[in-house]
Amino acid sequence: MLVDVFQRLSAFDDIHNYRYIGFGSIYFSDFLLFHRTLGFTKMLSIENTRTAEEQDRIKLNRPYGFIQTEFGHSSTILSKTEFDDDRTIGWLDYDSKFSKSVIDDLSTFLSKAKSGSMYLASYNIQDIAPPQGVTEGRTPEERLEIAIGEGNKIYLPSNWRTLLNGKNRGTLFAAILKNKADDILMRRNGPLEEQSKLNIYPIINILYRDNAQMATFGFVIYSNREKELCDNANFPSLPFAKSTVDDYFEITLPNLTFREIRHLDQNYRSQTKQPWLPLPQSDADKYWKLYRYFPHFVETEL
Amino acid sequence: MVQEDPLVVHASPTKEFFITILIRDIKLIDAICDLIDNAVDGARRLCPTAKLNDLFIEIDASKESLIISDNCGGIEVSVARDYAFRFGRTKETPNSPHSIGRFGVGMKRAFFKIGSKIDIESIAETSRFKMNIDVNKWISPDNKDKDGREQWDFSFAECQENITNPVKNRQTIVSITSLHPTISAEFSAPTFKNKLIAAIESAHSKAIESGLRIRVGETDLSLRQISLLNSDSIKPQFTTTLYQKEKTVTVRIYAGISDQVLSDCGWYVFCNDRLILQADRSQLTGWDSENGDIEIPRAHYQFARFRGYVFFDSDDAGELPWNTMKNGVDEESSIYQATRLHMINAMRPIIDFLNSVDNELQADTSPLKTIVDNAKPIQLKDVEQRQTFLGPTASQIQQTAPKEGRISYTTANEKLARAKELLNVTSNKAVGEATFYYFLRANGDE
Ligand SMILES: Nc1ncnc2c1ncn2[C@@H]1O[C@H](COP(=O)(O)OP(=O)(O)OP(=O)(O)O)[C@@H](O)[C@H]1O
Ligand SMILES: [Mg+2]
Repeated sequence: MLVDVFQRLSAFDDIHNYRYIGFGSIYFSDFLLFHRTLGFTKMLSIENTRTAEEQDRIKLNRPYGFIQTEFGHSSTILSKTEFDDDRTIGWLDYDSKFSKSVIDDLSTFLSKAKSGSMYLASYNIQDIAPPQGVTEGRTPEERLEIAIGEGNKIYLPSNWRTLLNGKNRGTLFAAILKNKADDILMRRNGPLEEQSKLNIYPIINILYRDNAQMATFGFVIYSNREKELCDNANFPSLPFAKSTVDDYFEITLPNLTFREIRHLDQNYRSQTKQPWLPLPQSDADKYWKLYRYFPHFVETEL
Repeated sequence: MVQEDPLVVHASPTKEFFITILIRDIKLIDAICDLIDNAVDGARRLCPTAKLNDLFIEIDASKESLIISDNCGGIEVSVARDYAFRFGRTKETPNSPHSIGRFGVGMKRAFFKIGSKIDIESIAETSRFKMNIDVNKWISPDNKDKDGREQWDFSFAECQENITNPVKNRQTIVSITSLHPTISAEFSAPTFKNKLIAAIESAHSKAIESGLRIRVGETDLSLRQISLLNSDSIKPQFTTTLYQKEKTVTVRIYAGISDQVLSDCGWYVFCNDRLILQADRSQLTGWDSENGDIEIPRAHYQFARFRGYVFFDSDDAGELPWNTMKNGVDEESSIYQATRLHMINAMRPIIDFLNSVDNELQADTSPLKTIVDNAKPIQLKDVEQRQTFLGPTASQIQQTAPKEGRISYTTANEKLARAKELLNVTSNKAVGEATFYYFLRANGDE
């Protein structure tokens, strides 16, 4: 899915020239995928580890020599990284719950990223939990405040109290990030001349289940000067694109066997009905909504 | 009396109100600095590119008076008549490039703040004048113009135009007498002079560096060099950003580490080379905002080494983020808001580094401290452009870590004596070494 989004960024620039920043961990799976499909060669992996041993292990697992590795807290590394010349895709895939470091990384990224760049963050929305884990006896309101930090309360949407449970939390966190992004851009734009002023265009707001309920939120950054390029990319035509924070695209995977999948694929033309297959129509619908991306998600289970 | 229009509703300020509001918040030292700012502007107008070597400003504060004299070009009668003594600048007010003067209020505010009799004498290129202001008379209800309206204007005591005065004769002398009692008391306080010196030395280090002589009483002010630590493994950030709208503003940011002095730690902000904010460690400069597990925290002692310097420069002083008292930033300024984002980014890696230096205190070895101790101060003008602060790499840290470690412990003297006997050695040190190697050999090493 993300590959489809990134491909559209070629409206701004040859996609090979993009720089990718991610949390490669020791598997570098996103790095492998994006290099193979999109040809990225400017790639930076951030890993918060200080011991020489772990650092060596990460370097050892680096699939390509051009992947740069930086060790330290993502906020520190992002604030050290030069952004000036490259359009950058940053996919900050936190395997943790939503917290103030997500917000702070966003503000660092956005205080530097140039037009044509893209920001994405994935985080766990299973629960609202402060990173320190002091949850006992606290209300969700209190936990939220600890999780995002006192200073970030101003970015809460006005209806935040109604968004504290279930999938609503996806909307809540996306809204916080969106508000923060608007605030940073307002500050950054202040002294810039009209054509250089930057805007964001939200396109990704996806909910999915890993082991826990997860969310990915993302937007493209474009300047007034490059608005046309952004329009040319035609992001809204992506089937899963969502341009507001209260609307999300949900990935629900039907339980299908290999054989069933093959059957469905072969009968692509009759997408709507499969009387010959003993499957509920809803499962088939779910499949069709995602079939192009399907193998990628089940890969590990096969 | 002139016949009044019955539809007119009066809204003009009373002079008392005006003065009270004007001087309400300004501190005495800041008011004096305003007078010095004007002379520094004069010096830069006189020698825009050259050194300020033959120029001086002298400040003399006593129980009775404050006298500030300078030879920085003087005030032309035409400027004095139409602009200099007005409250606030007009569109036509001549603007000298890269000036500190901006609002058109500093000098008058300083007068009112300090005393009630002000005598100004000035000799400029083509004119000279003398002027005596008696504030009490000026405020008095009897002070009316020929139409019977409240008189706001001042008048020259003497003035001469269309003459030629050589550079060396040009000067301005401001003397303020009939000091307000609190001011007079401050001037006699033993610490006052030092405070004033410190304030001017920091505010105008750039002018002093350019050769301008500033003297407070008998003391010549000295240049306070700004420096940051630098070595192969530690380098300060130095970035330049240009903002171009109608006017250009250049923003330079330097950030790094220096001596471990908490009172000096923080951000320093300069506008047109005039320091307006010193050692700030508040939200205003991006401290205090939490950030995951590393925070840009309230200043703790471990961050005492942090220093950041921001220089805003523009030919048009109106573009710069200063407040009217020149002792703080205009937080709402869009240039400042944008720069603050850069300041936060600049600070993070340094805070992170200082945290690691601090964590090392609990460890057995302290390579980072050694690296910091080995770095040498360099002046800002010698700092090279760098996008971010450079801290030591893991391998530099490893190389610095000492190859040997020390073990020490104490034991009872009888036992120690017995060990010496058994080992056939005489010193405690030898016992330590012999027993250590004995242990290793017993385990099959060495
Ligand atoms: N010592 C001096 N030498 C030369 N010119 C002077 C001197 N003192 C005052 N002036 C003139 O008087 C003017 C008014 O000074 P004042 O400090 O009131 O306002 P300003 O400097 O224009 O603005 P600001 O309120 O920002 O200081 C100055 O602009 C300058 O032209
Ligand atoms: Mg002034």
